Amino acid sequence: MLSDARELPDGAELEGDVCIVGAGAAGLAVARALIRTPLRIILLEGGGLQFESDTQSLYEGPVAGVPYFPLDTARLRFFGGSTNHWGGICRRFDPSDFERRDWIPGSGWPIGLADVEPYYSAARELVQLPTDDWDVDQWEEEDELEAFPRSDRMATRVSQIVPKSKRSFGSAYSRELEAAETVRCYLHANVVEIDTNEAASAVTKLRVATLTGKRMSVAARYFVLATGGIENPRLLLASNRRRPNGLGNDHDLVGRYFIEHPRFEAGVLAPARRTLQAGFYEAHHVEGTEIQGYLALPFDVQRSEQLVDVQLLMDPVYDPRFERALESDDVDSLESLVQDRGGGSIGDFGSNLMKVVGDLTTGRRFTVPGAPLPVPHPDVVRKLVASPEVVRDSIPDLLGNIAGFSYKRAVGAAPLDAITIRSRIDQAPNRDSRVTLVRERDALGMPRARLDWRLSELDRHSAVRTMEIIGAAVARAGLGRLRVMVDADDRSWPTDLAGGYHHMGTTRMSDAPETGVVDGACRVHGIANLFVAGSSVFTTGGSSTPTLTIVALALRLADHLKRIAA
Amino acid sequence: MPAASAFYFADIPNRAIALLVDVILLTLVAFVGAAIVSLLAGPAVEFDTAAEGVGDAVELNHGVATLDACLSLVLSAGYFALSWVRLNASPGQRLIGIRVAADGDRAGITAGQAMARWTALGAPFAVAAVLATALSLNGVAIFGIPLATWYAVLLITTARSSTKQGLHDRLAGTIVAKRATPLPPSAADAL
Repeated sequence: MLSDARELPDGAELEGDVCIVGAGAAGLAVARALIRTPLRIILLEGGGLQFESDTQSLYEGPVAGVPYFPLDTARLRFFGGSTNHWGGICRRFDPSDFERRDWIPGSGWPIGLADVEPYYSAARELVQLPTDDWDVDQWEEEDELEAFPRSDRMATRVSQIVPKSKRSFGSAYSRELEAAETVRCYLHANVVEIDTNEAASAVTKLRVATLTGKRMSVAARYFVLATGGIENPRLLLASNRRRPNGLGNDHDLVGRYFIEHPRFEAGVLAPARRTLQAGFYEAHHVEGTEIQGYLALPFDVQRSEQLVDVQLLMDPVYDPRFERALESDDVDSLESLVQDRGGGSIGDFGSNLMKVVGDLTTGRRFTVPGAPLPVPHPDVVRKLVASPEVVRDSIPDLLGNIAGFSYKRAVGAAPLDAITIRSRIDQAPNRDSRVTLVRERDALGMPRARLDWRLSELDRHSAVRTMEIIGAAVARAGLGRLRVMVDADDRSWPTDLAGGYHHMGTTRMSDAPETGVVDGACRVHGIANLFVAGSSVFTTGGSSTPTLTIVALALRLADHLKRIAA
Repeated sequence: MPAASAFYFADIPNRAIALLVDVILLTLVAFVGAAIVSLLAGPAVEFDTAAEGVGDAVELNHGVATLDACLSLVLSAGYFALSWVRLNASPGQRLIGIRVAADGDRAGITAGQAMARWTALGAPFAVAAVLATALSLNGVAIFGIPLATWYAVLLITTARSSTKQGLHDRLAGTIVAKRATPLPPSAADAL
């Protein structure tokens, strides 16, 4: 059942077995997993079904430290949460992502891949990826494009990409939740405080407010915070009625250890030959699934060099004549039509078809108007004879993605000028990188969050050293010469440094309350019935995108709740 | 039935081949026409080598292009109507050995019948091209489906007709016949 909290009477007291705060990837995953249980679920979402600027402005807050996106644009506050602007890139964590790495202070989850592994397949289904195949060799076998040769110093990884039309959890699951008898989802229900018993050892109720001025409360046996890596600590810190430092914060850890996936342009690969195939490292379709390859160091090398994991994203730069025609969105439309063979959604099919039709129309502009067959206009022919390079340069303009697609099919890869390489760093845990509260309050009276993102020398050194090692491996393989654009001796960060909209670590997982906010079951240390879902529980972030692991952990938490609530 | 045994109603494959030949010839004629228009009125297509965006490198002079489209329309009408009236067949049809005749007396067709037949067969495409060019419309998106539907109707009505008269033939009162070896008596009776 979906309803609007603004229509509830002021002072309403709601009650359920499990109350989930936040209807993003994590919250919806937990809610869905509990639908077919006798548990009465209350799902609270601060926003509506669509973007609303007054609700979104509740996310505003100052930023310090490393320059970061404005906090109200770095996430979305409506049904589906940040999946509504998600890029759809998915990859499972590696075993090493969970392990304690002696050279990375604060690394090491209290759980391992084996604990999460059973949930990855269900998570993959929930994000609507078609296959559980994550093995590079397997993909390479099915792919027309080849990855770079692997060596003991250079590895290739593969991510799968969720089709754009399927990325929003809100669109995908709103009907199912609306139909679910055991789930009551309240929109525009903003949790402003968590109430506990005197000892702050159990949550008694949540205080909820709407922007229309109504106040209500929700009591439940179990509570799950799933509001993201900035809001989860904000809510815990702001709930300071019983504990002046906020809930779960007896050891001053809530909001600390904010980690991101810092990225910047780290180098340029000059290919040894213009026919070098780099298409495997661009987003492309294989048997109807969109995948993308990355370069990285094998874990043994990370260990021997004492580095954090750094994933290298490659952006091939093709001959300018074909660059425009090969813009992935355009070429993808025809590729999708050819490869999906009706397997995609009607929306995707229609959109791709219109793009191709648009190209046909573009092409018709340069043929004789009214001629029954698309013969080039005499002016085009005359120009071709007089100055062939002008027309040749205009071929992508003449036929758009049809030219690009045909060219890719015929040649396999467009003439490669260079490959720009961006790094994506598994940021080392950093106690000084944190979310705190400021005095300024939002429209609901909650203190706003302040983000102070900090990076360490280990992060920077790892990015540079990874580039150097990959550069040597690339040269040894005869692929080209890699120029590292970050000076090893310069302590500053490149000006294009940015995050990946991944907010992690602020309620980090650890066995001991002295080193983490939640335990291995995602329960807040010291509070019997308060759980956290989402990437704020990540102890380290891995260099892969977090959504698939967020969902897998949420499903694991749902299983735990089923067990303890039974 | 004196001449009946020497003809049968031209089937779709024969007519399709004839139409393909006509389309190729008409395209060449339109190409020459466009070249003449460009000589007299200036280029219809110009290249801007400094342009960056997709589709921006080539610019269309809509006035000249509209002249091209109008000329193509006139050439199409002239090509088919004249050849049907004067030669009893378009060049493509002559090549295959088929001819257009009046439905009633199997004699040559009148100018009115020829124009009616072209109006149903060639005009939809030619007029759509003129409109799309003159009004800078997305011709494929706007006219593609209606045109495809119309030509499908012509094809289906031709295929389903025992006299191979598509809707365009019925509107114009024409048949398309192919010279043949004598037909078996039953088929000849049908004529």
